[in-house]
Amino acid sequence: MEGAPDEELMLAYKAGNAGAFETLYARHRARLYRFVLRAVKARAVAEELFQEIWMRVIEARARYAPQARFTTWLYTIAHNHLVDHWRKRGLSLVALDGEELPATGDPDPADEAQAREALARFAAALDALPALQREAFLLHEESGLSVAEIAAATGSNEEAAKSRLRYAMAKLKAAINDG
Amino acid sequence: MADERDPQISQRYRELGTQEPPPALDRAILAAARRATSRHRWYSSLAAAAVLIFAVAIVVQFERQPPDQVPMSTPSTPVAAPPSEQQAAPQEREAPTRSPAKPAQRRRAAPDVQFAPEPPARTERAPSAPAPAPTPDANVAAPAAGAAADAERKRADEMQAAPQLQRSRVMPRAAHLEEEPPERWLERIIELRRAGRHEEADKQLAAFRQHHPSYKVPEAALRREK
Repeated sequence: MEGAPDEELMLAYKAGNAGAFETLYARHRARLYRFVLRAVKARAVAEELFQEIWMRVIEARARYAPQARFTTWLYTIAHNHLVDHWRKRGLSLVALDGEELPATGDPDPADEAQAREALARFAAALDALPALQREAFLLHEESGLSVAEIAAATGSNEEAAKSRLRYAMAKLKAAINDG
Repeated sequence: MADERDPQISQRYRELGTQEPPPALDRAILAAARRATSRHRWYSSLAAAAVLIFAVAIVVQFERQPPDQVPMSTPSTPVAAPPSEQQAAPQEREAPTRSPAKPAQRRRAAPDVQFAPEPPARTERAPSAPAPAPTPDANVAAPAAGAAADAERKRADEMQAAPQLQRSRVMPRAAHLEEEPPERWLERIIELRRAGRHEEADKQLAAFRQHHPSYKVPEAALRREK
């Protein structure tokens, strides 16, 4: 089952093959973890959310139907958990999505000190992205989702997904060139 | 356009590091996944066993029930009882091989038989059971004597072929004869004599005397002619 597509592995797991899940988990664990970590920017919270997302995958296996790529399904679950997380913290995704709002990330003092280093600038720029723009960028860059898949995973339309991604990339590009 | 990656951005993003979940977290998630599948198998086995036990219980329960169902319909409609029993008897023999859904259908079907007997039962009953529609003129019964005799013969043959049916038929039939007017009963016995079925006529006459000991029997008409 090592070379089997994700969807086939998930169906095998649904049928009771625990080994199929292990293969699937090995494929996606690192990227999903980084996606969550960079979305919430706190390791402890990221680990908790990461575990909840996989638990949700396990619980939802009986209802799984390969209507889209497994990756899209997985990141839809991840997105929903992030939304819940932000809501619990009183953050509004809609407000954070607004272009006119200032960046919400508070750069670490250490990052400020190394501001001249390009990588630090890039990291700060990523942290400073509005949540939905950062999510769109991470889904695209880390998880390899297309604009249509980002729209599907985040429950938005393609125009909105494309717009968020374009804004995010423009800001990150500016951070790189701003040296 | 937005689907295309910017190599410079991708490069910088990779430089941020390749953090991974801690091994303890991996182990916890994989263990949960394995537990879920083993629970799935356990539930499946339990569900299959429960369905099997339920099916067996229904069959066993149904095996014990049929004798209780029939008498409920006999007091109100004594004539309809024999056909319903005739139908029930073969079903009873088939019951163990049937699906659990059948007994429920049969239980619901019992009242239906009482109010609307099935056509085959009605055709069989008509010649052999004249009691429900007695003719005012006794002479009208004469042409029907041959048919009645045929039906009686058929009934006797069936009883020999299926002894297990005999018990279920004899009881309602005795009840039926008790309610038959004595005159009509005697007429039938005379008809049996005429048809040459003396053995059966003798039995009927003995039964008649037992049920109506004070009734004056026309001995001349009932005597066997040799």
